[in-house]
Amino acid sequence: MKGRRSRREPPAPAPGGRVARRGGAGAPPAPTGPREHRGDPALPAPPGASLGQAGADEPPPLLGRWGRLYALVALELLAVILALLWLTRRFA
Amino acid sequence: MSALDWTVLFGALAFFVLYGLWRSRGERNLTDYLLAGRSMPWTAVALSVMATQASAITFMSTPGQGYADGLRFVQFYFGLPLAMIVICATAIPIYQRLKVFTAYEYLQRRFDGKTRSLASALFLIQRGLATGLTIYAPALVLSVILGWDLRLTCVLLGGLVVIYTATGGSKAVSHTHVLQFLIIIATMIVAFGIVVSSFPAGVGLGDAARAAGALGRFNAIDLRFDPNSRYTLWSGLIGGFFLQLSYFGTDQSQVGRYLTGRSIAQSRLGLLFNGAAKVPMQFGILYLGMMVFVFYLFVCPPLFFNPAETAKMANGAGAAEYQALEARQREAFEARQRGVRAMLEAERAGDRPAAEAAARAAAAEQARLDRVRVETGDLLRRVDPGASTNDTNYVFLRFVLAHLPVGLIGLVFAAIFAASMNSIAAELNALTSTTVVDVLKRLRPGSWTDRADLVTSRVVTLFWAAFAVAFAEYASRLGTLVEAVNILGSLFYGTILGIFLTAFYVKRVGGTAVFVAALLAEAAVIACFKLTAIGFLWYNLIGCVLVLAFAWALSPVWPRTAEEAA
Repeated sequence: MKGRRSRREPPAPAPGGRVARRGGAGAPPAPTGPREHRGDPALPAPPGASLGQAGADEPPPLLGRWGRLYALVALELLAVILALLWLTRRFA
Repeated sequence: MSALDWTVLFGALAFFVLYGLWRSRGERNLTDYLLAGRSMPWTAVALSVMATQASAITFMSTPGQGYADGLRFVQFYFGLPLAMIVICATAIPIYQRLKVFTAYEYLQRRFDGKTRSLASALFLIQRGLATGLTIYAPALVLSVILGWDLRLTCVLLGGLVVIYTATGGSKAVSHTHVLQFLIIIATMIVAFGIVVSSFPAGVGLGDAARAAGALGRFNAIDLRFDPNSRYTLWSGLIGGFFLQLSYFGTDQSQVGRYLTGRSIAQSRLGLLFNGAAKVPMQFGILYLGMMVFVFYLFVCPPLFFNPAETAKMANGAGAAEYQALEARQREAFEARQRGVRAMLEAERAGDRPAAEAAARAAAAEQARLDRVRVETGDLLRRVDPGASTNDTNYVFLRFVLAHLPVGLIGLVFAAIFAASMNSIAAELNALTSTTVVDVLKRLRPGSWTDRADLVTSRVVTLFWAAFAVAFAEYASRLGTLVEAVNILGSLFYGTILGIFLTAFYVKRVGGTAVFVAALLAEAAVIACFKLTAIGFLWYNLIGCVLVLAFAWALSPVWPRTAEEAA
């Protein structure tokens, strides 16, 4: 396997959707758990995450570290719909 | 087409295949072959996901839809960004952490083997047939426009794709997706620029929008809540959300694309980019079609865009009637053009009442033209009951052939072929994954060597390609079955989604309860299809909600077993 597969998880998006350097300004708190909790698929599942238990086969909370990026995508959709509504009323 | 266009077209096709072969080196095991070694960056994931969804029909038919029906089809995609968010939050972390090859593999881990078998069998049936249509639909249009034999066009499309898909697997598919999708988008942007620059002097983008709006084409948002209307804001947001959730969350042709991401974060970023870019992209393609409509406000369009059908009219039984319809179309076209020009001049002069009067006159002529088109369809059906009376797939390509410069015509056709190859490649790869992982490896458990994995996967890819081409060859003879295959997907998506959402969110439900719930929900969806006029998009919501409800209600009867919870 090529080296890429064992790369560490890239930094998570900082508030506002930008990707910040780990520990840099605007970066989220550094994860303190074992590496597999950062989502690196090349690593084995955490010990308590066997199937059927909390962990590997259950979704993480929606409003986690990625919540702001999700909100950004939803806001973009809202902006697009409002813009199209305005254009429809303006030209139709 | 000119010699230069043919050179561009065949040069591009050869380049796509060679590029795919070049990028397919280094497959060592099943993870490399089916999931590109889980090594792709988010940019490749994003473009591969978008390329898989956007087939040739997207780039041929959507501009035609913009021409004939305006922008309202864009609402179909409003649920997509929301679906991307839910999938990023739920499916991706689960699939990636469990390191599954297919979405259905997860169902066995969460429920049991029979639920996995049900979902994977539904996928193989539906996607196996749909891949045939993915070849057939563009091959039909391209064969008519280019004057090629339909069977040879099907073989060419399937044959080109299978060369690099069977050899290189998912890595070749992802890399060619990136290249081809960028070429497609660049070609569409250039085509848009040429359409707009072909307007008469003094007619700009604002004028074009006003003219299209006056003639009922600027209809991007419909706020009515009408379940029988196919495209409204609400059907797009709610029904579309469930459709896209099902397609991206449970259909292996998409799951296989984002599982190539090198981490959860890369897969998520790829899907979120798709969520952000998809609606603007579809709007752009529809807008291109609307601009073609504006172009034809000043240049008389063909009465009917499908050249194969109009050729039958030239010397056939309906020739005289057809010529009479053409004369009526010409007369209405001239009157409409006068109305549009008068409206634009009055707008520029600031004379609002005159502009509105001219717009009403142009709209009345548009209604006349619409009636002529309906009568043309009736005539085609009268002369040949098997005639295809929907010509929207041909609008854009007829425009390209007649009005784009030499060289660019070949590039547009290359882009259409590329779009078709994109979808076919992803579907073949997904069918291979499901067949090998969910069927063959379960039928013959034990240790498979890497070599056995790769050889089997390549043979399975060749099998599905041959099956798809064979189905495409016979699709033209199947008539209504083709429509039935399209409907099939809508009927099952909601149920499959319900199974997955139950797996993700309803912990107390076990395998037997969800299996029975899925069968009951499917029966209810089929009853809705048979007995009501509810629009297709709503089946996704109905099937999904019913599975969740039935599974929850049945869980006390068939509780989750200790084995399932272990």
